Amino acid sequence: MTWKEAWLETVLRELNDGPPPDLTARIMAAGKPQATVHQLPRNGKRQAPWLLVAMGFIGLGVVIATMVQTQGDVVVAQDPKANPTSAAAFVPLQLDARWVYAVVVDDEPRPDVTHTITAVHASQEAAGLAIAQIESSGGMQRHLYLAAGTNLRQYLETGEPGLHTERFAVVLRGPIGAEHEWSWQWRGHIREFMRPGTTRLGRPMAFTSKAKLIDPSANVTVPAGTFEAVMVRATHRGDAGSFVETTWYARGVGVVQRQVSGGPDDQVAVWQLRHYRPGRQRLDPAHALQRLLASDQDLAARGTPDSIEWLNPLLARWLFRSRFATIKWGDDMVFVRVLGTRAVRFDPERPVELTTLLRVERRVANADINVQQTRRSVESRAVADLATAFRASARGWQPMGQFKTLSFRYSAANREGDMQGQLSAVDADDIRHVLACEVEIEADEVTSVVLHVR
Amino acid sequence: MHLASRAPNGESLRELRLRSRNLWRQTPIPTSNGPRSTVSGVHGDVASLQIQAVVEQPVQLTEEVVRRHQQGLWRYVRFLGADRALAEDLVQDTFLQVLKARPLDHGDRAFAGWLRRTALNLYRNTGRQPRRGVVLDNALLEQFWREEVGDDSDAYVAALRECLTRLDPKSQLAIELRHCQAADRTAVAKALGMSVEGVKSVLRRARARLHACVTNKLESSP
Repeated sequence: MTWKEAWLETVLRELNDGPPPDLTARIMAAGKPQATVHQLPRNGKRQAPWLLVAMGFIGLGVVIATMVQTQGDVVVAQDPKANPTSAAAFVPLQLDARWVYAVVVDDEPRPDVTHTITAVHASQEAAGLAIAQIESSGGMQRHLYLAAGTNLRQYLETGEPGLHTERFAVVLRGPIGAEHEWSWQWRGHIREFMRPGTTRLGRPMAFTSKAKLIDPSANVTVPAGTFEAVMVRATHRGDAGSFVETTWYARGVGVVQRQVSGGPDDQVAVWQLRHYRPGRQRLDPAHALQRLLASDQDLAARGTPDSIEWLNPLLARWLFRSRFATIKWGDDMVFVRVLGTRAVRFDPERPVELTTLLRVERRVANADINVQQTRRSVESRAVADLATAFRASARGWQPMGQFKTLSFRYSAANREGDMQGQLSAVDADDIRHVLACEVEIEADEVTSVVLHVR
Repeated sequence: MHLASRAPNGESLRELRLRSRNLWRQTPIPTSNGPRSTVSGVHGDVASLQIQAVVEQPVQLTEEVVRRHQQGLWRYVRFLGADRALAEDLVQDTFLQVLKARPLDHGDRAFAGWLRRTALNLYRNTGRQPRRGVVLDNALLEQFWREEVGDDSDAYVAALRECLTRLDPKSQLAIELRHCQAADRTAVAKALGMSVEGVKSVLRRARARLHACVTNKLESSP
């Protein structure tokens, strides 16, 4: 690639991802003389970077995953129960699941830390990457987890003070029971406070990590009870110090105990599960749909539907927990959105309904402007994807046969982060119809959805 | 070289420098005439020696200055290889360096160059790999930036945006998939129903057309 191509790629990415953000306010606020750059004291004294790193690893404690087997470009979902030796079998993926950990550092008790799953952006039955967001009461950072194959990976999301890593790292390798040793290299940064709402990346720290499955069935007793657990020991060596991390994963519960030791001060931190509350069970969306058909007078009066088609738009499936279906009675049809036990009629071309969708999917509230902007760009695509899928379904078009959703183009209009989505299409011999969708999202509201069909 | 080591009045260069320094100290420096002022001082005992000194003040980091430079700088660090989050951090850190280093105000173009140099150093410090094909060498980067992008990166982006719409749909899609969505050539070939070699040709031709179109637009714009 030449420099000109690299520059072209840079600008094209910008056209795709949105223009440069306006950082003036951030810079001016951070640059004020009284806003001296400093790290906020933690528990009255400044902690060594290595401990933050260690605490970041402790954050691996909530291990959430789904069983996704990657086959080339196609990602195929599997039921974790079908493969009990996968890493996903040891961790539940349920919204609102909560873990409370008792924390002791150098024999000194610290406040309990609670981890809660606040969003699951893909589900076990979905064919795609499963990403669960976990927020910690300790104020460290948000976590993202995903599973690919039999392995479990973890990524510490940017935006919050604390450690953030640059890529997903394997934290538990399957199949469980076989002897495993694996290693990886990673870089992390400490994201520092500057002033409320403003953070900056600290210097990067490079680590080489080696992990080994020590015991597939170790007994461990913690305040929450006695568990048979898989014991994994990882050694992390880096320029900020080295430390050893031992983790016990119990099947269906997640991490029950974690011990981190080492660093320049040779501290020992132990996290033990005090309480675990399972999340909500993911219900079969077909049951909710049947209940709606029975309870809605208008729908019940139409009799038994001729067909129920579950839609599978890639981006919407990845982004939203809701499931979408088209119910047909001859030429008559109704669109439905199902989330958990609740099924509601849904019009994908009404902006207000799409705004509601974003709200119930918790895709609107995030204090981190970086995450907001990224999300809006993704959301506009997903909404366009969903609207075109419904329209195609209404006309009886088969994706990839008679029409394609080919690409998206969107741009951020101003510094508030307004985002416009547009589904563009191409002329190709094997495509008989072209669907285009323009979506505008302003602040947290979908303001317009315009579909074009050719 | 020997000829140049002596001043016209026979003084050595060292003596000349000392005298100049003393002269400088005695010369009143008006600073109220803006950020840059020129001072000429002539003293009787060194009548043959004209001293001209340019007094520069450091760049004042105002909102207007940040607004003027942040977009170009952001694109520069993105060009180096930073993702959006890192780019924002680097832009912020680079401007904060202005407060620490207090670079002198030699005009917008020089300040933009200073910002790019600083951002490059900060990017190096992160230890990240550069974008494929880009070498983190300041001189080469500056030369490329001056020749290809110039002072107004907005104009380049606007021109490219317009040129993209002039491409035929197939090239447009290929470019979008390959460069915007980072799809590999196989995926692009699948989407276009072409061979991988065919996609390579389409991409090459599309890039050439884009480059020619953008260059033409930038040159023809007033």
